[in-house]
Amino acid sequence: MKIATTRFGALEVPEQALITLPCGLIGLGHVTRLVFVDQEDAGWFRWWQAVDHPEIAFVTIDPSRLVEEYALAGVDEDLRALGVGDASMRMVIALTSLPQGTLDGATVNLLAPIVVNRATGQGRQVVLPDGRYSVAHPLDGTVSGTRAVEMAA
Amino acid sequence: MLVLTRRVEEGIVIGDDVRVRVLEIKGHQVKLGIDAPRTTGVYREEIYRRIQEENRQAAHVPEHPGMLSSLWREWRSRGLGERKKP
Repeated sequence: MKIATTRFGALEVPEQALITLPCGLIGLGHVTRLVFVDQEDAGWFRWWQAVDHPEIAFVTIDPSRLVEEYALAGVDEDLRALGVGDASMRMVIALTSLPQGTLDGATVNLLAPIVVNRATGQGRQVVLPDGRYSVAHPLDGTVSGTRAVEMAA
Repeated sequence: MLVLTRRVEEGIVIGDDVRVRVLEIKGHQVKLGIDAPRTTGVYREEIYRRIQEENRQAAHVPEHPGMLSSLWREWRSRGLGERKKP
């Protein structure tokens, strides 16, 4: 299918690449269909483009890149509803906020990741209840609170 | 705002499929039980608002498609991006 985007122009995406969030994102209930747009040299960061809203795209990262043993604790009912009890069946997506488009002031939402069933493409934004993770974890890990990025030797 | 007075063990029904019940009252705390369909999100209000705010900020990324390569360069130049996945 063809989708319009303000950043990437018109994109041709296969239907099976769509991720569907029947409930939308929290506070953005109209954002229900998204697709990843991969770019060279973007490393761990991936654009996640809203299919029905050309101007909406998120910068995402796999939270397990940032926090060791990132755990989806206390959301068993959500995981069951999605049919992703086993970690291999799911994809976990964290949304970043990049107010400057750089690492300055950049944060990542580790409290409310989006969990997606890899087989069906259906997902939902879940809220981790145990208070271990922040809604605005500094992306460069310099502020204490949750565990910072482990750096290479 | 509709205001209703309820006792412990009493509840209210919202629409056809949401039920809220007062389970316990202790001092200034009220324990509520909520039955709602899985597609209905149920959140503590302050958490809902914070996530809503954060999602809306996350949706306001600069309109610059090449931004991620410079972000990744910056990330690597700060020595942040080298951890191997377990």
